[in-house]
Amino acid sequence: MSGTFLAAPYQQRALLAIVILGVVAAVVGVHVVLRRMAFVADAMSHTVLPGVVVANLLGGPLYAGALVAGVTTAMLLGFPARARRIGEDAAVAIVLTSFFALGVAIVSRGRSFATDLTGFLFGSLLTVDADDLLLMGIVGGVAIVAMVVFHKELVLRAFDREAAEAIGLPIARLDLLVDLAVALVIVTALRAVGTLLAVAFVITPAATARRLGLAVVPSMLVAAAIAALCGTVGLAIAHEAGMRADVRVAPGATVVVLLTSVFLVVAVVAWWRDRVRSA
Amino acid sequence: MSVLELDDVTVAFDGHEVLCGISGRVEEGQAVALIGPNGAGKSTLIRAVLGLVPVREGRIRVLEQDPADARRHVGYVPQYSRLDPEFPVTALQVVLMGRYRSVGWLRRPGRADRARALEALASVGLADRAKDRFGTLSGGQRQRVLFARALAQDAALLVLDEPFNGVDTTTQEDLVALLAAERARGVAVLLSTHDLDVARHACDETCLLNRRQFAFGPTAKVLEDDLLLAAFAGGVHLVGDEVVGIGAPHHHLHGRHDPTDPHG
Amino acid sequence: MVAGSGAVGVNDLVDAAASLVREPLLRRALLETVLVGALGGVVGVHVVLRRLPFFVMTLSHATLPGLVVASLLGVSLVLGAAVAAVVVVGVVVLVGVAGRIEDTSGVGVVLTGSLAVGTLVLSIGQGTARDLSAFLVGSVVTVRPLDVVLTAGLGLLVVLVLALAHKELVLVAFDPAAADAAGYQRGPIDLLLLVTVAVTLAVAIPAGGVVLSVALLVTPASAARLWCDRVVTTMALAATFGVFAGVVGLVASAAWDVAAGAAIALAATAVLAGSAAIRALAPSRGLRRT
Repeated sequence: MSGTFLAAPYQQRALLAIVILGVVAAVVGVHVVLRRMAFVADAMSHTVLPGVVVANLLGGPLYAGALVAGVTTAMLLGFPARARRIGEDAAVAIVLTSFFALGVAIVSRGRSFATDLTGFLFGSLLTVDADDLLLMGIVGGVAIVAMVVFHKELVLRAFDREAAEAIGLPIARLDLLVDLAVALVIVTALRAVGTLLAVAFVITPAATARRLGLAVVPSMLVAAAIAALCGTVGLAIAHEAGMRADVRVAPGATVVVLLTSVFLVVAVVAWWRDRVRSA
Repeated sequence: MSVLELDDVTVAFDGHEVLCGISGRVEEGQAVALIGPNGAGKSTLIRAVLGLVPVREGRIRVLEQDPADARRHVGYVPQYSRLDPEFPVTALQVVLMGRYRSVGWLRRPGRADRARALEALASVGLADRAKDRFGTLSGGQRQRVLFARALAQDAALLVLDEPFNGVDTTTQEDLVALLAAERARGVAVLLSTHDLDVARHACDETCLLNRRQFAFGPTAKVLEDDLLLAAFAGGVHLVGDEVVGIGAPHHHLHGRHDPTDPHG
Repeated sequence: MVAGSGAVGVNDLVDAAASLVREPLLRRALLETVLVGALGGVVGVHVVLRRLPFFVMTLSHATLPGLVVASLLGVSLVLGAAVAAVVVVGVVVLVGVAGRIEDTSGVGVVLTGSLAVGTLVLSIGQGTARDLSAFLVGSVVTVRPLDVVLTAGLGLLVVLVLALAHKELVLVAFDPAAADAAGYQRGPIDLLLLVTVAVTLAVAIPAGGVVLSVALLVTPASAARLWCDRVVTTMALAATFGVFAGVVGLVASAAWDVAAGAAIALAATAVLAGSAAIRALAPSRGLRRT
């Protein structure tokens, strides 16, 4: 590892990756929080595994595998009717665990099972290259554009589903759009922080902004800012810990821990403020 | 041309009928109340008028079109209690939602839309709360905002689903006055309620239903003891001091004559 | 695990099944799987009825730091998972006082947060990729005799508690307002349920891993829900499905050299898919109306 933080290109790329991911995830994440879809987002982070694994086996690009799996999940989750007897939550959990199990089953037959799996699930932030960044920018860009273009319809649907239906908005398709956007975020995050930690970038900054009582668009801006800030600080901590104390600290996980801490602080302060107000 | 035409409408879910034989009209400037006990099918009928639920027999015509095609002209006012008060939208943003249909996909509401929205908000007396979060308003105020949203749409037909539930008397009176003002401009109104006083004060005609139509006609005539008792299946609602026996012959005004027993 | 050839062969399956009974290591794995399958099925019915799968997934991820610490200290993983799970339940109940469990975003934050904490601690403690995968995916064949005893004991305790509190749990699940009106304290009842779920996870996770143990809590119970109308019969059927999935999964795992937890989860899904298909093709037959 080199001396000064951000001196080396690999560190600059790592930071850029986190910032891109943070911004994209924030925009999509605000919609996820508005629709209370955290579980669906979490499900998707697990269901892309078989796609990634199969792509790896076939020697193809992992991103493509993740995308296919993500799109399949989005379409599967759009069938709520069947779930009446067991509940929507259970249906999501079943899709999540089945797909994940499939991915694990395939990977487990290989020799480098443990390393492969960890790579897929947790990414490798410090080995992100320029091609990865380009792909992140493009895929992430598509997700952001989709959210911006359909902004008012998505917010109306989230707020008042009946009224949205009454003016003729296609609810199922709007929901699918958000699911697909989440899939795109997961794909964006794949190499950087892996699928599992990606969900943190989607949910946590947006949940923090929500706790602050911000309106929809300001939430997106603040969430993106929080992600960028925690990303920078997290990478710096990981770097310094390695340099000074010779402690290996997973950078992606560090950033997520920071994001979570910010959320907790804001949540506690908001709770306190509400208590004081109602007293 | 009637604003809303119901012609022997039957709606079914999963093979069983939930509504049948609904017939009647709402003309320009008229207000019709949908009266019936819980589970009577009022909300289902409303959803059918909005084109959200298919009609199995008979037909519904809004401005002589299929309900799904006429949505642009129908302003829907749901109950405020169904909406999440924590949702980060302001009162003005909620009213603006009423303009979305005319703004269309891919475009943002313009200055004219905002002006119309503010105007609608002012007509319900909440212009000063435009920037406040929807959830910080009281129940009655939130219902007014939803009302303003429908007004901002410049609709030809206003459809309200139990708009006076959980709303204070002042707001009720204000909303009734607002409805009268809209009617004077030629807007038609369809509202469901189980409050008979509202029907008497605000609506010239009433549709009395409980899965099937018991009557559709002038409010005073429809809301008579024997009809009410039949529709509300006897013991649920006491009307006045005089109680007429169940099973009395049904009055046919504009509705269908049903010669068989009261339970359809 | 018995090394299997790539091709699917009935002989492989028979060999694998035989080895499960023959070899002591695998026998223990089989026993553990049967116990966890049954327990998961029973507790899972409440998980499905009370709409708790997301919460369970979160609780499961939240045990990761506990697993990591236990592993680093060389202590029983079940213990580590149990401590972490109980801590989280405590936190959630406390937060429930101040906030709402339905706040799915908050729950999501806890899920990913604890995952990150676990990963972080592991990396600091010089853990390897192998360890992390083991926690996520489980390793039923490295289950120790102590763990099996713990599973049996705790399992029995959980079933006993559920039996004693049965009518209260069902009432609260079905009609919370009526439960309140009847004077039941929902708080302690919910806490009881959450603790039983936490304990079940604690015994299931070292064997099946963080993600796949949720499968054992959700899938067999969901399949059973498609067949039965009464809670007790649903539990019995769910336990049966759980054991069945466990055994089939373990045999498949031994025969085809596939991770056990994954095979078991997939077997459970197959049971569910089969049930759903049969139910769709032949509705209302034998389903008594409650």
